Amino acid sequence: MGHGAPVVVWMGLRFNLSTMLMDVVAATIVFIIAWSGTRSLTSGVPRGMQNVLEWVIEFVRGIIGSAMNPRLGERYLFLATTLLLFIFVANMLGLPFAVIVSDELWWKSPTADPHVTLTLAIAVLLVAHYSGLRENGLGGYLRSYTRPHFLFLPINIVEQFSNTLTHGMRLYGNIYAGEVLLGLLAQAAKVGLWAMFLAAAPLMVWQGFSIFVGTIQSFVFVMLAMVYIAHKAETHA
Amino acid sequence: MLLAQVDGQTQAGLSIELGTMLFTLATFLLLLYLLSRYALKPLLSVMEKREKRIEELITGAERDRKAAEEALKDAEARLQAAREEAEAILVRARNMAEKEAEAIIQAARHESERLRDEARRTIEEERHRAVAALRREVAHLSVKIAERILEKSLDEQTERSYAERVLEEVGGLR
Repeated sequence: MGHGAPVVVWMGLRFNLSTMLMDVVAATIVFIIAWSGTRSLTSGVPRGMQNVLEWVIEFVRGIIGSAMNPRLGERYLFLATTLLLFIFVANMLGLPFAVIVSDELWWKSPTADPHVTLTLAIAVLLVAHYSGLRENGLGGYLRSYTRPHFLFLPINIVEQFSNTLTHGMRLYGNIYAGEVLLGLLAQAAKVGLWAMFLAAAPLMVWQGFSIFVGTIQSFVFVMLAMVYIAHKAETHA
Repeated sequence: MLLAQVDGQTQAGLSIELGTMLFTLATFLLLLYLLSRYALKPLLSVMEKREKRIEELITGAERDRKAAEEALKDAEARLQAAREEAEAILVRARNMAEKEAEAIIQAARHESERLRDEARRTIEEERHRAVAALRREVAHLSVKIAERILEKSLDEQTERSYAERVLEEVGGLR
């Protein structure tokens, strides 16, 4: 929303304290969910959280399998699972409420900050290029820029930047827009009782829609990450 | 109002917060490590173990099914053999019984024939004997009658030869 951000400068680097806080909150929630779900593991019939986590693993395997050779993809299973859980939880964090302290927004979705989404996109980019180098060697990696023809070289180079930029900005845009509208609707409470009642219904509808969008966007982000990695790692295919 | 607010945010975000990005990366990598180490790896190993166990169960069931099938086939073959043997025994017994009955009937027939022949022979003998006795009696009576007529007693020797002569004559009358 239109509130300021608690940014501090330390050693010449700018830090957004609220984004960092929400990063840690999201990561902690993900870890607690996964940790509590794997306390009493059984190779028999899985129950409760173990069942949910196994479903997540199978779901991520499905995503990877649709993007690349599953044997190669098994290497990226943990990365993709962590990405999915982290982004999903992060997207959900901003939905129930926002906390604004002295006109600075503290509680929000960390994915409503482009720095977070672009960081994740760049991390995926690095993994993709590293995988391309490892799977195909330097020669194969460089040749991949001239596929399907040498004339595609400039397009292929631009694609590395545009892919990463859209990868990160897509997630940020969806979540940020959701929070802006939620914030606007919530501001109706300041206007008066009538406005509050009038805004209540669309607010709930929009929250429901945001849950849907947040879920879809976490899936899309992981899907695209795997596609980009596959694109680099499976040039010969 | 909305535009103004968005504008404000955009201006604030124009300067890149490299610190935030580095911190986010560090947080994510730490989460990746902790999640892999404490949750996903154990979970995956458990899932693999279960997969292996299910595979074993399936192959075991397949093996058991094959063994059962073989046992069933074996039992059926044995049953068939036993049935055939029983049939053979029955046929043999029936044949033997028939032969024995035949033999008994044959023996009975022989016996009855023998008895009949014997009886016939005895009757014949008796008849001969009776006829002979009757002849002797007739001869004797004839001699007696002749004696009476001739009033003359012949000695025994002559009487006998005479009687025999008479007997022959009578025998011719038969």
